[in-house]
Amino acid sequence: MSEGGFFEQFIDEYFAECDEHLAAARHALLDLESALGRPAAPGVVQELLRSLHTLKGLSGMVGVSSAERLAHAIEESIRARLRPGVDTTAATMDTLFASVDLLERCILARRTEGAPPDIAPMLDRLAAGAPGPAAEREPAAPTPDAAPPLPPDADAGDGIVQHFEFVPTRELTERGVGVDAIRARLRSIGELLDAKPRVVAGGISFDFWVSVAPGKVPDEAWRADGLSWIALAPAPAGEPAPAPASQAFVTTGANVVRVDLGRLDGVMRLVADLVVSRSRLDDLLRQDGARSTATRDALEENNALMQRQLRRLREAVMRIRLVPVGEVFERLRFAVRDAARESGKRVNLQLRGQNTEIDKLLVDRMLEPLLHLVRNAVSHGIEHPDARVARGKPPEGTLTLRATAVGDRIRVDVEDDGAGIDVARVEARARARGLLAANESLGAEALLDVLCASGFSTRDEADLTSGRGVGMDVVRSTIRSLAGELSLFSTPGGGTRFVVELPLTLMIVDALLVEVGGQQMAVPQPALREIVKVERSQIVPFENNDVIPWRGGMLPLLSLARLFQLPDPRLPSVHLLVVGTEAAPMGLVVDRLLGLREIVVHPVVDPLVAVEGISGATELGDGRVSLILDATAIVRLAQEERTARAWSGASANVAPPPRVGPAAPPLPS
Amino acid sequence: MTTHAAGSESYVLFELAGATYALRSDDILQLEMVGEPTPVPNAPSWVAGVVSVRGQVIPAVSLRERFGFERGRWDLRSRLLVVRTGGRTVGLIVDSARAFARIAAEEILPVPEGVAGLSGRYLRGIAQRGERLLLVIDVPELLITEASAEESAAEGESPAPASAATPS
Repeated sequence: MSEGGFFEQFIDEYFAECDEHLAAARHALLDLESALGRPAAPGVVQELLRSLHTLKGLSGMVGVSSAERLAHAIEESIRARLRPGVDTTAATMDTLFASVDLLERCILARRTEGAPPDIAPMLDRLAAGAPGPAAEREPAAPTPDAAPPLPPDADAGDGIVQHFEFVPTRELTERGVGVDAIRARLRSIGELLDAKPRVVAGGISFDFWVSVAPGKVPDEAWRADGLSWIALAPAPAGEPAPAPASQAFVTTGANVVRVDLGRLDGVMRLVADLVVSRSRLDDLLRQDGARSTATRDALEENNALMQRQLRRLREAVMRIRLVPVGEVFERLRFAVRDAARESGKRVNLQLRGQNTEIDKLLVDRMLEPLLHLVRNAVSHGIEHPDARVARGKPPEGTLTLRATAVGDRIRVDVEDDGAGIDVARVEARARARGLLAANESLGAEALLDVLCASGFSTRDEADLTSGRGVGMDVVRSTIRSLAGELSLFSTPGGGTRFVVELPLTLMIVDALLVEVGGQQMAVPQPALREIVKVERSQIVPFENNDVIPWRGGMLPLLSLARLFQLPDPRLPSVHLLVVGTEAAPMGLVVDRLLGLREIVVHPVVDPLVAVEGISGATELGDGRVSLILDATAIVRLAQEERTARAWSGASANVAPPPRVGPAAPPLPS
Repeated sequence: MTTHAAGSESYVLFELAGATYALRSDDILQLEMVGEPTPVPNAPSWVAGVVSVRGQVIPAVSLRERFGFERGRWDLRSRLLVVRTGGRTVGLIVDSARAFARIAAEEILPVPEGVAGLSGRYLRGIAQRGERLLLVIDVPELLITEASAEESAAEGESPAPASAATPS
């Protein structure tokens, strides 16, 4: 929450991006070196410049000034030395390689918080080779991007998006062909999406992006008037993204964009907002019976269309977050090898379905539980080679990791061909620990329950690999906290199979965990305006509600304990979560703050429990469900209740507002 | 063990306040230990709260309270019957659930007037097993009735179910 935390997070991104651009710059330099003694290829030079330019900008933003200055000097030097038509020399390349190495050391120094290296000699060396007039050739203003930037909404509209470049000249201007004339011409063939001027060597040019209407083509005669474009084959109908067009803009090799997950989450939240807005439209449509049938039908139709589009949008955004599960499997490979070596067993690991895709967030979080299952399989499941041979099995055990997509869930099987689970032994231990009555036996479901009971282990001695019986309970609770489930299939003598089922994707929010009347609840961070700690004595009972002096006015308070009908411990000091709008803030009274945490949002949809004021639930890993508060709804309910109470006087049996349901608002007695 | 006609169906038998009930196995997704349901404000009093089952957060209904008994304490024998019907998944908390039985349709007799009390509304009938009476519950009916009961409760304020949950 603090500034420092934010910055630290940002700086990690800075390092990650720098690594990428340094690698790209080196790659470009190697390309150039291969063409030694000839003029450098302009495309490669532009790529190099772009990397350095980004490095300069990023370094400036996070205040790594040595890197910023050096990147700038390298950029200048490249512009001067690698001009079109000038042969590349070995000396130039040596200087550039050395300077990029130094640039990396500058960034590394910030990363390791060491002293930045001395860049002065390199600055001199870079400047020395540069012919004087170079600086004058280039515009002094912020270096323009060498390639035309992507238009903001290249894929808007139904037509083909085409890029046009116009280079005005005096001769053209005299003929009356200026930017405005070009603009008019382009409008005649479609919708003008964006237009940007760009500084190029020797002058200025204009980039236009036009969504070309179906059936229209640019007039070839326009080429004589300083306008250029790449002829495009028309995209087949129904194919929205015109790939050739985007290739015209993107000069880098791979068609891959690295996106920060946080940004995607931002997009997802916007989509969620849209979904809520649309459902409000639903409500309005349902209430409004007065309108004419024609209008109503049109609105309904539009509403239904929007609903479908929103679902598609949501799915499309979710798809972006999917990555292959294979990366987790690869990491498990090492764990298996280590566990096998430690236990003196022979294990053949089989990986299946590595290309099955899953949410990036889940990929990282599923590693821990899978690691545990895999280690368990090696240390508890698979027998020693001698024992296996004695049972007529091959000495080498097989451990199979298999991922499959099942609808909107992913399933990972961890299967071994080992001894299976000794049910009698588990039963004995369960009885010893009082988990099982003397005459009871374990069914398949209960077997897993017992194995996952806290602190349960069938091993008499804990071994190095599988720990001390703190395993399965953690595995299951982790999986459950990811909205997943664990199941177990075991054949005595034949092997064990654990099945992990997880959703393909997750909704995760940052939330403040609070305690109210002994219960944990989560309040999504975006809803919080401020958090104030107050002494109970500062709270003033006022008419129908408590208030507290705040910012020169009065802040109405709402006791969550009272709202949720929980026992109020009446602590001497409480925390107020200030929520609501700036104009109408409200303080929610909670007993304790438990900290900020990322939580997985589970929808709460069944009509029995879908109450207003609760936007979902989350599992915090202990198996218990915590409710997620919808602060906006709570404030609205409180205000409605107050209005209702004001109307009906102080009567304690006020009919609750109609939308709340029978159990609605707690009434002070 | 007698072999039943093809018309018989598999049922899960569970105990509740001393009586034995039967639920069609097909309506049951799974049996779970009862964890600690998280109470939900403003939900009907007989909804013990929400629990997480197979990654889904579902309501847990205290069937004792639904049928007008005391809530009682949950122990190692208590079970959550996860039933699925009409696209909804709901957990029913029962005292214990261990046995299976096959019951033929013709064995299920109509509920005598005035016998079954509150739970009578959700009974499809009664079957006899030796000395034991099995109260056969109709799951879809049970959940539909719950939803409409909720609505009818919303109309009049007298039952005020939630305030009964936590007496102040």
